[in-house]
Amino acid sequence: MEPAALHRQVDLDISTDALWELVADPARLAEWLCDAVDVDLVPDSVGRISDDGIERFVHVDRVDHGRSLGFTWWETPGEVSRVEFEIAELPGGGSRLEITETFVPSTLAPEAAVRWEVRVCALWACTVVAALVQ
Amino acid sequence: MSDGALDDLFGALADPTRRAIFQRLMHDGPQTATRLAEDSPLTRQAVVKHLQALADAGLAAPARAGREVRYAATPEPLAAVVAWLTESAPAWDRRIARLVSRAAESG
Repeated sequence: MEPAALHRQVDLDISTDALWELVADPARLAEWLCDAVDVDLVPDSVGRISDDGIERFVHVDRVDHGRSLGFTWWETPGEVSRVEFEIAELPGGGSRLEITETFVPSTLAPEAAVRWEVRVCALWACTVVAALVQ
Repeated sequence: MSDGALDDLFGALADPTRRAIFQRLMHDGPQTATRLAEDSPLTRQAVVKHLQALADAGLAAPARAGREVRYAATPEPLAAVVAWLTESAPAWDRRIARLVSRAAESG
């Protein structure tokens, strides 16, 4: 087990398709994860998530349709954490969601945090430029 | 990404001897390896190894004091992890409760 990781698992009486919608559709995700989701849930997209009065940047890095979604999010660039959602079908017809959040503190990984900051700023700039060009 | 660094942080404190040295630095302030070894069954060399492991994990910082090196406890990395856990764990419980009620509505 990772020392600074949180694991949660929940079994639900809905199909994996219905669960995927709750995880991968920004509007549905905002119904339970946080207050608002302003990001396309596709690989390498950058946006914002507001959560209980906190504004977080989010970078989606992995989308395996119907099965898993991974992103990093942070309020300040130094304190990044990574979230993974994994969906599995249950034998009885329901579905299981496994959630893992791993802390990536900058005090422990200054180089990694700087790399992320630069990378995410670059992605953010690209998104803004792309929006202006359209 | 920094899983290794987190392992170092918690690994450093998993060793009871190292934990005792870290606590000593916290309680008594910066100390030299010689001073720490005087009050323990460990050799100076063994204390230096433990201090280096603490420093590698970001939990102690060496500073020259004349001919010796003094080590100070730097608990900040620990505080950052604890603060994160304290905030994030209940947040996920709230989120899962909301997810369960959403799923019940759509199910």
